[in-house]
Amino acid sequence: MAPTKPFDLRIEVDTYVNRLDNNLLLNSEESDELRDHFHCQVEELSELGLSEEEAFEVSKMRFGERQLIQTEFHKAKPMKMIYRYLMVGLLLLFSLELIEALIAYCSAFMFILIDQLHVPFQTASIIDLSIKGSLLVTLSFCVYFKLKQGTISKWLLWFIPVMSIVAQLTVPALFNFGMSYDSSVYFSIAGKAIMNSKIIMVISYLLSVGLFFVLWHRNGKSLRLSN
Amino acid sequence: MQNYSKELIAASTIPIVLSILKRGDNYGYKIIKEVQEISEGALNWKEGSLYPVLTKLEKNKLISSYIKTENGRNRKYYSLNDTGKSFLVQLQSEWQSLHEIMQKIWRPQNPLILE
Repeated sequence: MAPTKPFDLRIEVDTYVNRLDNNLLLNSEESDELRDHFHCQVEELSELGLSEEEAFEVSKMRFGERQLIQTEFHKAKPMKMIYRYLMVGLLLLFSLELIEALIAYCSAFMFILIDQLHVPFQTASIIDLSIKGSLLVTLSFCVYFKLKQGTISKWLLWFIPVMSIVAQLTVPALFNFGMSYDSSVYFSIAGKAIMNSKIIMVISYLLSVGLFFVLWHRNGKSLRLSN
Repeated sequence: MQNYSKELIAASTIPIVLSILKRGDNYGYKIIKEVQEISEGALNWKEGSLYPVLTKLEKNKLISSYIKTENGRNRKYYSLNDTGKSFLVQLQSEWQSLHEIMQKIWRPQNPLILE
């Protein structure tokens, strides 16, 4: 028979508080406060003759239904969830932008194969499709495992927005490369309008990246991070 | 022992917490114990429900908090600030006036009383 694990109050309290805060609404002070509550109560009940394990069971019962407490915390911090959804939404947008850029780079590589290295069109297409296919499969697996883990690495939170900015700035240049520059297009009214809308797009993109970092700084704990 | 309705308990939680904090700085577990002691066990809160209330009061800047290390643990103490004090005065007057109205309605000679 396997030996039973000895009861460790600290571990049990930590596990219970973490489960209570599975939506990551609490900051470290609030989590410590809940831990302190259980330790105080267990100490008090132990003085009355209960074992630590029994005292902790009684404390949990007195504490109330977990779901109810979670709902109350949600009501007390309604913006926290909105900020989190906004962060996840922005991250998704940056990821899509990055994937789009990677595909664009693959297409540029295909142009180089055909134009510079004179690879036959069909062979270049097969190479292009295989690179894009393996890229998408790898990314899908990465996303699947990340979702399964329920965590996101800290470096990814930096990498995705920063690289998506690089993509925003470099991909259009990639396709303009080698094309003849016709200044009359840029100085025409339509040309100026296109330029203005591009500038506005880039500025809004930079602002959304800025917003993402501000949200991350203020609500860092609302995403489950791994190192 | 008196059993209070959920609604009444919910409505009275904020004035009770603010009144306890008016007596001096305190932390979550001790607030619960003091309420149980004063009410002689009649006000039996689900203990966990106090913490979201404290969070809400702090967010609304009615109370403020600080951390003290006791018994090797970080303990979050709350104190009533000036905004909280004036809000408590307002709440006291509301509950007092409601209490007076109830007293008048329930007075036996009052023809409004329902059998």
